[in-house]
Amino acid sequence: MARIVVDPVTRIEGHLRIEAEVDGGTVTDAWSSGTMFRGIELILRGRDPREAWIWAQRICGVCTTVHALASVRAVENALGIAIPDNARLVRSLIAGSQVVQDHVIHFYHLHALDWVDIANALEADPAATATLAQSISPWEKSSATYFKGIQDRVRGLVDSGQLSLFSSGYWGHPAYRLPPEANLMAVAHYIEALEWQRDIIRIQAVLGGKNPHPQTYLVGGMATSMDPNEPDATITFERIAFLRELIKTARRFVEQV
Amino acid sequence: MLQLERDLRTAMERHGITRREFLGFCMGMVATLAIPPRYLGQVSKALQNANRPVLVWLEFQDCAGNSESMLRSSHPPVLDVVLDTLSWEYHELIMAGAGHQAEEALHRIVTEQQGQYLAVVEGSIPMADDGVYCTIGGRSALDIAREVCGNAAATIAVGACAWDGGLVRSSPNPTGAVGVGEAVPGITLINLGGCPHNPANTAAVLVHYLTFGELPATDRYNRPLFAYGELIHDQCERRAHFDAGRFVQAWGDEGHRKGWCLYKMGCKGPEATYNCPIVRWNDGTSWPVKAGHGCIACASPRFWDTMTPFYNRLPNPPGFGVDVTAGEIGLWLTGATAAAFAAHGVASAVRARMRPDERVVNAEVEPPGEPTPPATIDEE
Repeated sequence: MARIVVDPVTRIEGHLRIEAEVDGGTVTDAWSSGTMFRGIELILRGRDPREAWIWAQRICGVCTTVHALASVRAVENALGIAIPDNARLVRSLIAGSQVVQDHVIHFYHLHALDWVDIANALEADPAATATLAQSISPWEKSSATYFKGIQDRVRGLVDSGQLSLFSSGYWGHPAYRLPPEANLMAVAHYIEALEWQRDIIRIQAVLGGKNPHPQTYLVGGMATSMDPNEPDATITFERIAFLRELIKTARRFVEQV
Repeated sequence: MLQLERDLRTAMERHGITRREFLGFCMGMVATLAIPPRYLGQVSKALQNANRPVLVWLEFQDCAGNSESMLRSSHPPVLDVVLDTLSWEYHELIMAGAGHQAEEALHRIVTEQQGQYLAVVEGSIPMADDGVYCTIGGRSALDIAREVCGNAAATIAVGACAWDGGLVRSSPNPTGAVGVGEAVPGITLINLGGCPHNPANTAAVLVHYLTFGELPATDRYNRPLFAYGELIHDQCERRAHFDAGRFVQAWGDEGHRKGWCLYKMGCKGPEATYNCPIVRWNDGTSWPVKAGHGCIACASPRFWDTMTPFYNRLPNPPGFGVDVTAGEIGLWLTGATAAAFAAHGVASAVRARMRPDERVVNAEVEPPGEPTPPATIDEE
């Protein structure tokens, strides 16, 4: 009977410790502990309900905005406030962009390194990688030249001896099952997604001033003013066109990558 | 053998960025840092020659919002910062390893790179009950901070929590949280307050460090003057409306739709310093006031206690309706230390150029006190 401790569990928000008892390759018992406490519930007590969402939002900066939304809804429910339709739409755009962006970040930047072997990507054939990628989707970047460029970049990093974020990985471990071409494709998409996540979330900057932690909710509505005839309103025709463009680009990535 | 990708210039070439564009980027950095243009050559040289210093990013009582904010860095893109300019070897949110492999990586850096690596801290450090409220790998945040920041060339505190305890420290501060400067006194430290920090400023600090081998000039809170030296109010695109007495009176009213001043809706811009209106967020897309909501002074000292309730008007806005300068209003906020310095070498010359005027340096400054209850201000 062996006892395994993983602390910290990385690529999550917060601090987590997992302990497991292993008997003959089977986990027989396990314990998880969050090893950080801030006491936001205690801090929030007695404060102005109009601003509770600003505090609650700071529960998490990865899934930013969702705790703000839950908080402002809680206050509105308690007071029986119905919000205007336009406010509901703006909230939906913010929440929707969060869901899409956070899924992609989670898939690539938080989760992927558990099953993508970066070192193994060096053994891939760029042409075969292009064939693999093209068999999955019509994404325009899936060429042999492109994957060769990514591979060279990874090789440069490995050859430099300074592996940065990847220095403490488990490269070459037999638990990694993907073939080299799939690994190279995933590394390419990891890098692309890093740029993509930065662009899609400008939706929240337009509607909430910034991300993480957009600053735009109000109990009873939203602070985004709207007027087609006022160039200094938050939401104008120009801003709507910009949002449409951001959404269109983001959507293509989600559908094709 | 492939050419090693050891510097930002090579990295940018790989992205198809020309030398001209690279110099354009350097010029942008020179502008953000407010250093004289004659140092442009030096900035570009430093970025081309940098031998990728090691950086470790520590998270304590945090929300990871500052990590996420760093991921939004666009000039330079985060990938270039993380992989090409620096070797970003420890960062719980995004690093490959976990458990004891991760902790071994940190230990190796602290011992092998002693005095050479950069440490970034995100989140506050709990001092109550022997630090039990934040442990990583079985060690308390305080213990880790003492070792890692104590052996670093410099520490960069990002976000309000790492600077002065932030939200976690606000009343009643259940965990005895403080910022890294208070938890580990005596270290070389720069504070980049904000909730979260703006990655444009953090990137600029890193570039400054790589170029001149030291941190940029700071104010009495160890915040870089280039980012925290000016009032939001003085840089605000709605300032003309304040001066003309045009205020939003209710959310969604005519003034709100026309982009008038948000002071009466609780905006803290008149008493907050930050370069938020100029640098903006998310690749310069916007900032809260532009998006229609007041400033909450998230880069001001202990703002969760001193600037709340956020929707109440500032009781005594300085210079109401009068044109005043940042120097006059900002004395108690920005007042720099009057520490003497000797002008030697380039870095010192740069620092000299970055000092605020003597008026501010020599001013008697009052630190922000306890929160003042809001007073009524006459409607016009």
